[in-house]
Amino acid sequence: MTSFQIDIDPRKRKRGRFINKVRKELQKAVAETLEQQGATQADLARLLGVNRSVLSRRLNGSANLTLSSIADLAWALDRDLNFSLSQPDYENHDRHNQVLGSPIDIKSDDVAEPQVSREGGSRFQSYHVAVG
Amino acid sequence: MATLQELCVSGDLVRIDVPLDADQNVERLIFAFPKFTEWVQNVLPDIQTSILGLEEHPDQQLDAFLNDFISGEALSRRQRFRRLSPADRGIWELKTADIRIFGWFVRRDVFVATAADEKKRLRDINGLYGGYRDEAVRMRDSLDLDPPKYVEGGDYDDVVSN
Repeated sequence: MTSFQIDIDPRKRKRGRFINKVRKELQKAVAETLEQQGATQADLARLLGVNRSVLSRRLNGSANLTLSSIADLAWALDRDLNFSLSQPDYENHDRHNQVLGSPIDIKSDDVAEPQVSREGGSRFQSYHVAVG
Repeated sequence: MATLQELCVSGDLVRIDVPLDADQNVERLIFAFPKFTEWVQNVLPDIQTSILGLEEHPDQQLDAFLNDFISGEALSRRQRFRRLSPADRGIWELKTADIRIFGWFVRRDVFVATAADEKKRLRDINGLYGGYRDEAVRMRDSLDLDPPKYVEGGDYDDVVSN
């Protein structure tokens, strides 16, 4: 079976997916909190001191999120923020040769190899970061 | 008549793949006509976001959307996927901030993409939405796919499991 992958630079992919992941976490937290408290997005926007459309655009991907806006939302939702950078789990990446829970029957050799970057250590050799 | 897999072997369709994260599995599938993949290869890299100052390029938006779709992430109704009217034609659009993907659901969680375009162009060019919708119907009619070819009716729960 032929398959097609969007050709995107791994660095851009990492960035795009990170932003998307943060936005989904915010959407989930907002939905949960508003439901628990019987409040609306307009109430939340008022608490944050922004227009409701600004809040809506930040949540739906039509406006950028800044670290400050994320922290403000966490404050308004009374949520703790956690941030960490972890080492990739390459062993678990490899299990993507198996297709689990697929809605249709696909042979395992029909699934493309995941694009896993294993160049972590060497990436720093050609870059110098100046601090101070 | 042919299955989706057979149509991929014959080259009528291709299966869309994305690299998944370690904790993700394939839960939904997207197949596409060559017209869609040609747009992704030839047009998408050169388009810019129509949203002032937005950090995410449309190709990042598409990659993130495909990752969400294929890995089975919850998708907001109307915000991430939307039924096009009239509902009985069974044509849907998948959405990012800047991109719209047209097609239909063969069954729940299995989508066939016929074409994609920029949200801005669809807004600015009168009749383009209807054109893509009607084209999707024609492409479905001409595809030699085993029946039932698509999910009839317009219930969101019938096409995407959340």
